[in-house]
Formats: sequence, C-alpha cells, structure tokens
Amino acid sequence: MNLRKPITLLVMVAAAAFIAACGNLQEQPKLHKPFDASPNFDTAARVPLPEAVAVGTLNEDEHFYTGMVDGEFVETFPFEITAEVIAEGRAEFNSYCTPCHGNAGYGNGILSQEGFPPPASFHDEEIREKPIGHYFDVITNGQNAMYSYNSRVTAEERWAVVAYIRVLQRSQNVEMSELPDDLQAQFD
Amino acid sequence: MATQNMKEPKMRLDALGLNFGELFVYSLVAVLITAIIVGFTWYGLYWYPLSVVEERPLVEEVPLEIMPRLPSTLEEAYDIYTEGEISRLTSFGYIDEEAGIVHIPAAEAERLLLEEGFPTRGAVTTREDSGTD
Repeated sequence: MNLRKPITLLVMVAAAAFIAACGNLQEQPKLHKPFDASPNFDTAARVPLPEAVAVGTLNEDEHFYTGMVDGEFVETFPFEITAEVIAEGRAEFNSYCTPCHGNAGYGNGILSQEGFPPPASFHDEEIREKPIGHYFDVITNGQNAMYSYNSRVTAEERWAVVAYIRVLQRSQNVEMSELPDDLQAQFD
Repeated sequence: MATQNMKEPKMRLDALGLNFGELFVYSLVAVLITAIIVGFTWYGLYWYPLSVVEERPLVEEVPLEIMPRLPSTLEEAYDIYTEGEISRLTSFGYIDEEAGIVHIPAAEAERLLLEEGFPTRGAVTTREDSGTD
C-alpha cells in the first residue's frame, strides 16, 4: 500500500487550513486609537466621568499648584518663607538651575558658556519686576529652551527656589540707601 | 507459493515511499547546519563582543573628536567660573556707583528679606498646611 499520496494530501490540507486561520486575525474590526469611535461605547477608551480626578491629584489649591489665582500670577507665597525654606531653595537652585542660570542668576551658567541658549538674567529690570507666580509658572511649565521641572521638583521645592531667586535678586541689586548702617559701612 | 507469501511482512517500511537511509543523512546534515548556526551566533553575539571589550580600553571607544566642544581643562575652567560666581554672592561691591546700586552677600540679602518678611497670602500658613488637598 502506497501512502505517499494520502500523506502529501493530508499535509497540504493541514497547511492550507493553518494559513487560512491566520488571515482572519487581520480582518477583524480593530480600534487603533483610544478615542476612536466605538460601536459599544462612545470611544474605544471609556471617557472618565465629569469632574473625575485621579487619586492623589486633586490639587485644589490653585495658588499653591499653579502660582495663579483667577488667571493672574500671584504676588505672594502660599506658605511662610523661613531660613530653612531658603536653604532648601538654594540647594535645589544649585542642583537644577545653575548649569544655565549660573550661581548668581546672571544667565551665564557653564552650559550657556558652552553654546546652550542663555536664559535671561534674574537681575534685568524686566525680570525683577515679574510677580512671584511667574517664576513658579516657568519652573512648573518651562519656557523657551527651558523644559518643565514639574515632575522633577515638588511644588514645595519650586516655591523654595522662587524664594531663593528673590534672595539672589536682592543680593545683586539693592540701593545703597536701603541698606542698614552696618552694611553701608562695608562700602566706606 | 502460499508459504512464501505468509513469510513476507504485512507492511514494509519502504512501502511508505520513504528512504530511511536518505532521511537519516538529511537529518544529520540539518543537525550539523543547526549546530554551525548556533555556534556562529554564540561566537558573534556573546563570546566575541566580550573578548573585544576586555581587550580594548574604554577611552578608545569614546569618539572624542566628534564630541561637543569642551575645554581641555574643563575642571579648571569650572573652578574659575564657580570662584567668580561665589565671589559675587559673598562680597560687597558696586553695580552702578553713580546710581547707588550695589551688590551684597546673599546671606545678608537673606537676612534682610527674612527681617522684612516674604509676602505670604492672606492667612499665614506653614508648608504643612499647604498642598494637602
């Protein structure tokens, strides 16, 4: 009994069935993006309920988390600034900001000297007059070549950095007549 | 005649139409080819790269000639730069002498600002009170 033909036929039928089975996967309905229209729901991904907030991200304090109130930059800090807060701001500033802004905030950091676009000096009159909330907003969302530090520095630390920037601005630009006598004596 | 037919097996191996001798040779060749491929793959992906890394110092792998321009004495340049910056933050001096604008040490500026008090919103809050929604 010659079984070559039946075996060959069986193998060919099995191969054809195997190949045909694979094709169906390509033809089934598919939603390519999360918000594609879906026959079952409005979109492929379920839309969160109105006013739904992810756990731990309510961030209801607008002043604290955005540096703005009613669309305007705030002129005040959201919490009391102490020497400890400034020390923390100095540490964060020296870690994250000095490569571009420089230790004193003149915008002449080591990266700027090596060709990276230099940022504005904190001591320019226009920058000095910016409200406190502006600095917090720039650190949070970035500006021009500067990227966002929202995920790198906490909101508390960002406010601490803003406080330290105010210290730098006072340090590098103050009228002699505003200084107490003991400091004026240093210029004699 | 009938006795001779009874002695023959009911189904002989060659009745399947397969030559088991050839099949053995082909299988042996396939095993050898597989072994050669596995051997070359192991040599190329594992043994050779490891041997190369061990023999070549790391500095030769860094294409310094195409790196962004950096001063050859970077550490010295950074120290000089930092020294200037720290000097600005620790000394007294004039920014605009005619206008009476000066710079003072950051520590003194911090002391002045803390004495004045930083502007804080309405009810004074501590850090622990803020951002705890």
